[in-house]
Amino acid sequence: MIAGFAALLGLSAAGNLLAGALHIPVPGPVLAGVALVCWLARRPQDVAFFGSADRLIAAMPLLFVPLVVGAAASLSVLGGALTPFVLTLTASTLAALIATVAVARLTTWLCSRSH
Amino acid sequence: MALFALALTLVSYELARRYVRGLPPVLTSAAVLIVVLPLLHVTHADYATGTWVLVALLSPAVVALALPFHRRRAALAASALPTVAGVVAGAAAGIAVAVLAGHALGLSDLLVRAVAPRAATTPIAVAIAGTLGANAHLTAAAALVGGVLCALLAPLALRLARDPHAAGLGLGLAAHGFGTARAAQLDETAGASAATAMALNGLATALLAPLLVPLLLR
Repeated sequence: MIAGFAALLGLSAAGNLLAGALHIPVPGPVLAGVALVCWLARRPQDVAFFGSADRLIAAMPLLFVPLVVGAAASLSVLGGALTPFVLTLTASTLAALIATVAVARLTTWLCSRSH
Repeated sequence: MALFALALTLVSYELARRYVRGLPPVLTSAAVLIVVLPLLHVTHADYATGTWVLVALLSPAVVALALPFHRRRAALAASALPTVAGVVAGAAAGIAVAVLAGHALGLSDLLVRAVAPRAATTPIAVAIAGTLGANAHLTAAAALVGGVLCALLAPLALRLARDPHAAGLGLGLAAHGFGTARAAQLDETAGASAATAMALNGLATALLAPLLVPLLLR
């Protein structure tokens, strides 16, 4: 379990190094995650080695607590912009939801017609 | 003092997880800490020093998301085209509307950058905020609060979409973990589709936000 956890830490560090060195504007851990997905596609038997991944994911909400507490301190950054910030957040969320459902339905319909 | 802040965080999270129903423990425990920390004379700087290890663990947690994604690859292959098209459209719409609406409402560039990646699952949204040079605290709060509120729309989305696969994709994309959990309670297909969309959107938003945000902010 420790070895698997160490591998996750090493991968995220390697991803950060790679993104920094090559100036890739994608978070290093995301690059590392993609690399791990590709690795597991070739060697599915290695899933057991990364067993600590599921524990880390289960504990993930706890990891956000300090960020949310910090957000309260960042409210001063918002200044008087709390209402437009919340409105922007709402508009973006609804747009994402509606666009996904609409395009997925449209594509399903187009696929069924072409068959 | 540093260990005290960490202990306080763990205790409040565990108490919230066990005894508070209806709201996610991350939000209730954070609300309690926001009230309690000043009473105990713990400064924001002390608190951040004490809890940095939790935030640092978010990076390996993002890598760990590769495993659930790996397990979902068969479901993804079954309806690859509608799934990928829906996710790319939803991710792009979420980012574009955040930038355009934020600008129209007079938000600063810095705040726009903080909202733009919010549809991605929270750890990835936080990582993207770092890439975009935004305030990661605000992005985390926006991702979590937006996710919780959007998950409330789950029954309505399922009814209006009349297609559990499409509704699930939308909920997983726009409300990540919260939307996925709610969709899974309501409909098995929707829950599976939501999990797929959440995983794919982490990647889609990570790729699209650094491209679209600077482009639209010009």
